[in-house]
Amino acid sequence: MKKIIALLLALAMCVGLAACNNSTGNESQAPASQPGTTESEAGNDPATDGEKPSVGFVTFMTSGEFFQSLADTYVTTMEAEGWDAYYVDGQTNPSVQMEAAENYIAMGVDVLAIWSISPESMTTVIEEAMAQGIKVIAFVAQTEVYDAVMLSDDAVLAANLAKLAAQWIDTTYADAEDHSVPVAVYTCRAANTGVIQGDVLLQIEDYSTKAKLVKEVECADESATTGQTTAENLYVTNPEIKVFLTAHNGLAQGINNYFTSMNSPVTDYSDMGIFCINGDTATAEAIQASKDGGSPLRGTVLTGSVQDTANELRDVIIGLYDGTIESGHVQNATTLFVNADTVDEYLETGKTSLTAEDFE
Amino acid sequence: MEKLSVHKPEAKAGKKSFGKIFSDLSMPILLVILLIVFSILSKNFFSPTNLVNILMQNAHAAVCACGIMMIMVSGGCDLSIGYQMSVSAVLVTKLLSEGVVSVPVAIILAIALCMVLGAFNGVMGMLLKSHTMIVTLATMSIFQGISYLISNSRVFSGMPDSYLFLGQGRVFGVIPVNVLIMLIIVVIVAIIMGKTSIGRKIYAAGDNPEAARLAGLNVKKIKILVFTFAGLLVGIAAILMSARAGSADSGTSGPGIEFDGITAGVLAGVALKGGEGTLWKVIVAVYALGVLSNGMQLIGLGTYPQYIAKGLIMLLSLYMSNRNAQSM
Repeated sequence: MKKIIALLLALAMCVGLAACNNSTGNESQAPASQPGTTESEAGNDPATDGEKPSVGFVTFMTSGEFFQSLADTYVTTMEAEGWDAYYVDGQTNPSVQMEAAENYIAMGVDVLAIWSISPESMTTVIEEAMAQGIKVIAFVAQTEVYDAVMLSDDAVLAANLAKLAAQWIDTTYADAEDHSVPVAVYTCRAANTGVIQGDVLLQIEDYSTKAKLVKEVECADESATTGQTTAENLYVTNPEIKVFLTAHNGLAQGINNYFTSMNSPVTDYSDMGIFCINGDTATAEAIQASKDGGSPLRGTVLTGSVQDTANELRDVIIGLYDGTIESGHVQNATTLFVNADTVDEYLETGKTSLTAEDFE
Repeated sequence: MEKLSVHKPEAKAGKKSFGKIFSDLSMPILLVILLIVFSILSKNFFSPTNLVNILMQNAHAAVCACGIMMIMVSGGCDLSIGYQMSVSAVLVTKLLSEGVVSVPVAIILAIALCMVLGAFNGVMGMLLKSHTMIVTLATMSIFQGISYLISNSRVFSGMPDSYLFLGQGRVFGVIPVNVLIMLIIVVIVAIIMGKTSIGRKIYAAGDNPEAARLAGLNVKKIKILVFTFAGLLVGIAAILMSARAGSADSGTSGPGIEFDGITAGVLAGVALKGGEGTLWKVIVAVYALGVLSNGMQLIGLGTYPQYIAKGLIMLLSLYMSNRNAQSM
C-alpha cells in the first residue's frame, strides 16, 4: 500500500511538472541553472548543429517578471533572426555566472552577453572567451574588458525617477510651502545598484521645490512583503508621509498593497504618491488604476521596454558578429517614463512619449 | 499542551525549581521585556494600531510555525516549507486573478496541493531512509521549480474581495480575520498535540523512534501523517499571507519563512532531535520575533544594527531557556 501511495505521489509530481513545463513552450527558454543541460536536452547544441550562429546570455537573474520576460524576449528575437539563442539564470551569484560563461565558451557560442553581478570577477573568463574569438557584450554592468558594452547608468535612472516624482509633487502640491511635502525613501542596500540609486533618491529635495525628506526606511530585502510590513510600521510613527520613493519595484508594490488593502488607513489617494524603478506589468496596472483614484502608485521609470531592450541587444549581437559594430562599442540605454499620462501608451505599445528632455 | 511526562520527571512530581520555571517561561519573559523596552523607546509602539499590526503581520508565520513545530517534534525538519508556500500562493493567486475558478475551489486546490507536497516529503524521507532535512533540501529545489513554472516569474494580483477578506478583513470591524483563523488553528493543533493519542504518538515517534516502533507504533506512518498535516497548515498560511498582501510571486511569497519558523521553534525549546516542544511557547516565540522586528523599525534602528540586535537577543533567549539545563 505504501509503495502504491509513493508511486502515485511521485507520478502526480511528474505529471504536474510536465503540465507546468508544457505551458512555457520553447524548452530553450526555460531557466537553466546549470548551463548546457537544458540546451542539450532541447537538441540545439551549437557545437553539433554548426549551421546557425549562436549566442549565450548570462542573465542577472530570472526571478521577477522583468528579468524573465527579457530573457524570453531575447530568445524569440534572436531566433527570429535565425540564431540559436540560450540563456542561463545568473541567480545574482558571480560564481554561477562564471561557470555559465565557461560553459558557453566550451559550447563554442559566437557571441556571449553577460549581465554581471560582480564585473571585476568576470575579467578572466571574458579574456578567455575573447582569446577564443568569441565576441563579448557587457550588458548593463561594465566589465573591465569587452567587445561592446550596453550601459544603463544606475544613478541616471534614479535621477530620472526623482524628476518624475518631483514633477508630480510640485504639480499636486503647487500651493504648498517649499520643502513641506513629507517624503520617505525606501532603500535596500544589499546590492551596489540599490546603494547608488537609494543615495540619489535621498536627494529628492534637490529635484523638487516642495518635497521634504522625512525618513529613509532601510529594508533588509526588496520583497513586496517587506514593503507592506514596513509601510504598516512607518504609518504608526509617520502618518504624515505623502510620497514614497524607492528603487525597488517589490517594495513599491508592498507599500501600494498596504494602502489599497481593506485595513488601509487611507482611502483618498489624491495627495499620495508612490514611485519606483523598473516596474512590471502589475506596477503599470496600478499606475493605470491611480488615474481613477484606485491606487497611490503614480509612476515608474524603466530602461526601455523589454522588447526595445531585446532589440538593442539583438542589434549589438548581430553587429559584432558581422563586423558592422567595431570592438569597443559603447551604447547607452534610454529611459521610459511611465505615469498617469503615459501608462496607457506604455501598456499598449511598450513605449512612452515622455523623455528625459521633457523634465529639463 | 504538555508533552509526554517522561521528559519531565520533576514536573510529574509537582515540584519545579525557580531555574526550571525561569527556563520554561523564558519566551514570555523575553516578550514582556521587549514590549516594555520598545514601549519606552517609542511612544507609538504600544498603540492599538501597532499592536494589531504586529498580530496581523505574524499570523501566517504562526500558522506555519505550528506545522514546523509538529515536524520538529516528530524528529523531522522541513526546509522546503517556504517554497511549498510559494507554490500554493502563486497557484491560488494565479487561478483567482485569471478568474479560472471560484474562491473556495482555489483555496481547496491550494491546500490540497500543499498536502500532496507535504506527503511527498514524508514519503521520500521514508523511501530514501535519509533525514528529512536532507530530503527536503532536495524537494525545496523541486518546489522552487514548480513555483516558477506556475508563475513564470510574474506577480499575481487583483484577487476578489472575498479572498482578500481572509487576510485583510475584520470581524465586527475589530478582530482581524487572519488572527482569528490563526487562533483557531493554534487551538486545534494544541488539542491534537496535547490531548489526543495521535499527539502523544508524534512525541513518542520523535523522542525515540526505535522504542516507539517496539511499542507497536507505526513510526513511518506517523511521520508521513505529520508532514501531510503540516502541508495543510502551510497551505493555509500561504492563503493568509497572499490574502493579506493582495499579491504573490514565486521569489518572495514564502521562501525564508522556514528559517523563521525553525528559529522560533528552537528558541521555544523544541528539540531538533525530536520528542520535545510546546506549542504555546512556539507561538510566543513567533510573536517575540515579530515584536523585535517591528520595534526595531519603530525606534529607527538601521538594517545592519537590526541584524546584530536580533542575533544578540536570540542568544539571550537561548541562554534563558537553557539556563536550567546548564545548572544541572
